[in-house]
Amino acid sequence: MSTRPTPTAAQAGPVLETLTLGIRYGRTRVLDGASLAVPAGCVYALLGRNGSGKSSLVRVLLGQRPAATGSARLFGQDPWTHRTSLMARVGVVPEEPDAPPEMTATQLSAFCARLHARWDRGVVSERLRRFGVPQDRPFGRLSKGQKGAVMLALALGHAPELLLLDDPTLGLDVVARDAVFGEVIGELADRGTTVFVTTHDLRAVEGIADRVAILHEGRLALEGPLEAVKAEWGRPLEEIFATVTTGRPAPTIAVPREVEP
Amino acid sequence: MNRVLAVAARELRERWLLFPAAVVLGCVPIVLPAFGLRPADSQFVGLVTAVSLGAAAAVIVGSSMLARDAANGRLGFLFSRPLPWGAVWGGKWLAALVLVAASGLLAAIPWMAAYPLASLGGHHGDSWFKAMLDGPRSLFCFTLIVLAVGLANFGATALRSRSAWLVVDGALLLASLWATWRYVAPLVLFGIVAGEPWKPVKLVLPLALALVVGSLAQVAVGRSDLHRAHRAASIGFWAVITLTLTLAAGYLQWALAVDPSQLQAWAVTRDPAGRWVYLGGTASRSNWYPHGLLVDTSTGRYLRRGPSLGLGGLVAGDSAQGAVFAASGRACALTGYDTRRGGTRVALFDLTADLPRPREVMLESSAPPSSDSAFALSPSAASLFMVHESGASLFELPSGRRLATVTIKPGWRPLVARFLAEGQARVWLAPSVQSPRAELAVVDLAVDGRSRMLPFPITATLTPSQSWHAAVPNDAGTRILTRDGGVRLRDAADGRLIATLAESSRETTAAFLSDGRIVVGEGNPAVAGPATTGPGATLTLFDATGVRLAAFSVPTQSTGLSLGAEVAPGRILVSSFRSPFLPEDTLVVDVDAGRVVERLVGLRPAMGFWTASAAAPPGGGTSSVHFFRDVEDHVVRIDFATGERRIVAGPGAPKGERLKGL
Repeated sequence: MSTRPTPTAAQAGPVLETLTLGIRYGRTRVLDGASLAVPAGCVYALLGRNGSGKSSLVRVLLGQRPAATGSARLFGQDPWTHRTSLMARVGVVPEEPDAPPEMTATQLSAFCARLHARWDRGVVSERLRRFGVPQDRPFGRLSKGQKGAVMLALALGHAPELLLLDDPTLGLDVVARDAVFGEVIGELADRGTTVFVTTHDLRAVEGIADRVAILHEGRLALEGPLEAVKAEWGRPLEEIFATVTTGRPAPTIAVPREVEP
Repeated sequence: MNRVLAVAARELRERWLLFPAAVVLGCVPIVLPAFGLRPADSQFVGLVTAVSLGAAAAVIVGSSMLARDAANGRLGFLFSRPLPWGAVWGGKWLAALVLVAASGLLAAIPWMAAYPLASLGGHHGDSWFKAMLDGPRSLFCFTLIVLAVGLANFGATALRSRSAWLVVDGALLLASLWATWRYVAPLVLFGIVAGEPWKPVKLVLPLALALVVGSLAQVAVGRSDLHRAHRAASIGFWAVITLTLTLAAGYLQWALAVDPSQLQAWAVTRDPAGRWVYLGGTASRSNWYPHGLLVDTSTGRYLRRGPSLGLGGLVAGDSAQGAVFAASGRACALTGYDTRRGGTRVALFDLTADLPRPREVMLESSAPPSSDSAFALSPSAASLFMVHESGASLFELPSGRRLATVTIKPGWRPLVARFLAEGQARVWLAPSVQSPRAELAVVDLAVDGRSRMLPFPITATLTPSQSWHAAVPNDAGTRILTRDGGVRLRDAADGRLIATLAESSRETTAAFLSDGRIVVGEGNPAVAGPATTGPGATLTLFDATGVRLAAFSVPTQSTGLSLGAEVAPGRILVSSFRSPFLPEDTLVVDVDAGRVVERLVGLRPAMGFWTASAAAPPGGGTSSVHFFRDVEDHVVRIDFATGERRIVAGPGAPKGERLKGL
């Protein structure tokens, strides 16, 4: 793991925090009482099977829907009420690439430049070139991996303090997946950006994550530093994940849930 | 603003093909004549093309700007940027309005260039530009665009979300349609909402506003979640609709809540004793809505007649005939259209009760009333006589059962209906306006079914204006005065000529006195004289057989000369009518003394409704109470026996106590 810059005093508190967060769709409860905290400069992996509530949690963190119970905080602020200002500090790669399909990567970068106070078109263009994405082709005509690469480039164009990745490798081949996580790691090395990633790509997570949490049936079933979790269980992350999410009895976990200073 | 424009520019870029498509379609009407289409038809095609394209663009853009993007997950792209929801909403709406307006305009420009406005009979000369800048119309068009885009957006959001709120929307839609029919339609159909040319804008603006508010809530609260967006849009939309309908209902109730002091009466029907009076008129707060108030002038209490609503139609508060009173003065009937069954219904009042309450009576198998119908109540109010263009019927009260009917041949309309006795009625008919001829008719009908219809010749063909007062019966209904090229006394039963009282082409009028004598008034030929009094009129007194007794002049205007009611034995009202906006005096003339005994300054007799359905005073005598109007729309009650004057309607009249029941 690369050496990360030390968080500044202003970032001493958790960059991302949820407290007994609950999310409901009508009468359906998708998340119940989830509490977690992501310190600055940390790579935090939220694991869970499909439908476990990962994307819903991300939508709350992005201020696209309010919490039913509990609270969510980004940089100490409620994303539902402070979404606009918070999004200037956050980069997002959604589960499904959601950019307008008729726009090229260049046009998307220009469009984002009008929305962000600081935007580096050169960095975006250079990153896209590195990914091998044709920048004059409409987004809708790109391959899935290329779309993901464009979304990642756009998420990093304004040098965000927090990068939110919602299952960014879903449906990608191995090469594309490695490119995405490689880029994340590179970004981390460059700037010490805090990363919150939801995924079920356990192998990729093992190489980059500082902390890990597993969501199961709307509840946070496990949370802690990755290495401590693995040491406690004495097994690889994949086996821990399988044990937790298949409902088999798990050994007692004595991993502290509090944020480490 | 930059962010709004950024979002709008992106939206426009996505749908830019609409613009060239509009130009191409706009050229179609120009080339159509080359294929044999007439230029007039091409103009129509051009107009239809431009409007259709605008409508189609509104549907396409409106249904996709938020709902489609939310359903496809694309709204998340905007909401994960530092973009306020207001910028998302504003940018999307700005682009939608520009797209719809521009596509319609681009489709119209070639057509407008080819066909100058003057060739279409426009009201703005030859300038399309001026026509487009016409304030109310351009605002109306803009509101329609907002309405179309908003409707498409709301509909698409509701359908795409497929949430349970669709059921709520459906239920609220039905409820709001009912409320619109109940509270908004009367405002429009009865002329309560006036103010052309802004009225169309006023009518569509609340709906457009509701859709705009709904879409605001959709973006502000729903954001990228389609279900939440639909729910928020529904709540926002229906909140504005509910508020609007509540305000409309409140406004309607307020507009209808007129008391006698607020009424500008234009028709007065009174009971024989002069205690109860039915006032028809308008009020400034309700513009053209025709109010109907039944007022007890002795106490100031009044009943207000509200509108009738039903699936068959809307009927305003008055009836075409006003009220009919029984000769006894004990009962009154307000006739109206039964919107449910399509016939005539009657609200029957016992005026002797402390609190008169209406008894609703549906007249069995009756025709709907019209302005040509005539009604009369029997002296004891045991039966009602109804006459219309094709028949006359007697109905039992209060059951409404039809007792007897006689068919009237086509080409007639009723003048005056009257009960000769309990259970025996008579009506005089004039030729319908469509078939003028020198003829009148009399129809008798009894409750035992005996009937007859007898046409009889008269001296001259009646003009439409003459035919309204072609026959004036005496109280007993045995004699009539006809105004056919003069004034003639006839037998009321068969039209037989008894005497010719005047042969004049000038203004003539005539009235019976309660003792059977007749007064005929004729306007004098114009002579140089004071403009305030005019040439004056000559009154001639005849006995009951038409023998001339005396003649004398009175100083009055000859225009619209009218002999009014007998206020005391031998004393008759003489008035003239030039304009509702000019003050007139009414003279009280003693026909035995041949002189004016009183001048009622600024007052003219208050007129009844179109159809004379008079009831004679009790015992056939005179009533000392009469009603007058002045130029300020006061209705003044004067009791000539006591000299008491009282304003019963119009500014300064007592508000009175409203009796519930109508």
